[in-house]
Amino acid sequence: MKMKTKNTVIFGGLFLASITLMSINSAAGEKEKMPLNESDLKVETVASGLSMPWAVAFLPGGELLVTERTGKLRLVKDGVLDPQEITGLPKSLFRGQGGLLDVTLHPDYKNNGWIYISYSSPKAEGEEGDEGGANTAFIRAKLKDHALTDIQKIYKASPNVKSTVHFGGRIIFDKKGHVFLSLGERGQMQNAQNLAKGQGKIVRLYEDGRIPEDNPFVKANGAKPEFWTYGHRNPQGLVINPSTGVIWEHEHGPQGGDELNIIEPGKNYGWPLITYGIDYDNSIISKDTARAGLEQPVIYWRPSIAPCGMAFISSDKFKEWNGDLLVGSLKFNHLQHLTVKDNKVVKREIIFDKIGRVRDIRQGPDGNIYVVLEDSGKIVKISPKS
Amino acid sequence: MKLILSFALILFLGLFFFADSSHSAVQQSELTKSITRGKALYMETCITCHQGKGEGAPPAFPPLAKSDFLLKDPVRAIGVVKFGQKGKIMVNGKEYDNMMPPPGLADDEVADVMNYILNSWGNSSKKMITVQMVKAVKEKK
Repeated sequence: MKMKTKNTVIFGGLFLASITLMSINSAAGEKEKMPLNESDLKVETVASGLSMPWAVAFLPGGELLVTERTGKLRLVKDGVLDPQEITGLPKSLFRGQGGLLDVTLHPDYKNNGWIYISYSSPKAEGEEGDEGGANTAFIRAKLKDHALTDIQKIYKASPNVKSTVHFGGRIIFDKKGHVFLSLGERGQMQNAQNLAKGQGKIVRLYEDGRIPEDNPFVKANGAKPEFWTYGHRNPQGLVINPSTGVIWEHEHGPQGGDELNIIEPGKNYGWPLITYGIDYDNSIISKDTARAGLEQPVIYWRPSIAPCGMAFISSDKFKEWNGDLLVGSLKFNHLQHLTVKDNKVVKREIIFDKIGRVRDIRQGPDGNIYVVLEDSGKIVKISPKS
Repeated sequence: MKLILSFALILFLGLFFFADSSHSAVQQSELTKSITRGKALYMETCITCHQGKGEGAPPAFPPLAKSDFLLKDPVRAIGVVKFGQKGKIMVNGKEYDNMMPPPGLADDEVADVMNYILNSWGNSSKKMITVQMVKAVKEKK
């Protein structure tokens, strides 16, 4: 009996050793991932005192550039919020879900100094649409001390719509000279399917706002040439996979219909013709979840998590998560770690439950992960403990 | 004389009654109009979290329908609609710890939304929320 126990212990030890060896072997191999758990990571506050922060960008000097949805652009230096706000911002409509939205630096910021900023732009004289309405727009500008200079209007979606919901507003670059902007359908679901309306679309432009000749709808009758994809509801997540160049988007669906999509030119993502969700009064928006010619999401969330912010991980500090996505949840105050393999999500894991109302997730130039929290007005840094 | 007096009294009371009822009818229609406007705002601004029948989405977002938090203290609720809400609150015996961003509504719109949510899904309130009441609510720092 005693002997047997000893044997078991020895055998168990060997077994463990072989597992360890196996995992070392497979780590040396291609995409096999060793577990990296929340418990291996720490969360530190790097900025606080912000009022409804929406997005963060990283200046080369280490400062953070943060949009506050109320209409202000702020600097954070060495963990301290600069009390002096940045001047020269366009007028944004802070109402409902609107306001100052995304901020992101041009990939070659060090040389050209361009900062791109999106916002809910109120109707100006001579613009199309509802009086008192608004739609999503973006500018680029340079930062000199505490002022935006060289401001250039890149694009404004048309028409203006009086609703105060679904502005989208994410900006990304493909490093091939194009910039993308996501547009929400502004509460008018049918217009997500209307190629004459700047609602529920993803737009592709040259970085200076000109329209690329090879956009999918350039030659289509009655369609706006800036559109890249259509049939979106409210896309508040837009990222490009740094290793493959594939664009991923997530959007708020109705109840139970949040989606993660792979964005490909000219495609129709189906809202509201197909959806996995139902309306807020429990009525049926569409009886179909799939239809020929309409794209299926990579995954959908039921119940809705209200996804906001997204980042691809490509960092020496998170090797085990490289190639994976992190998505924020406005509704459940957590992050979701989505394991990505061959353009599919093979696993979903909730991490940092109760972290706060997540507005933005970015990987910083230091390889750490930064999360913008709307409720506490903070930016936190997630990094390995050791 | 007695007859005339009582006739006058009846007349007086009648007038009073009539005046009062017409006054409340005016207010009634004001309330109805405010509720209608409030419903449109609710459908756009509030419904995503509090849902179509005010049932909310527990445990993330609290209900408005038969909500003690709302009905017991409408003035506090005005503050929530006007300035947003952060941190722990108790609603119908359940704790909610989340954030409601300020919806950015004008004072008259806050009044309209309040009148809608106070008079929908089984909720009813005799007292109409006015712009003046909304104006009087200041942000707690």
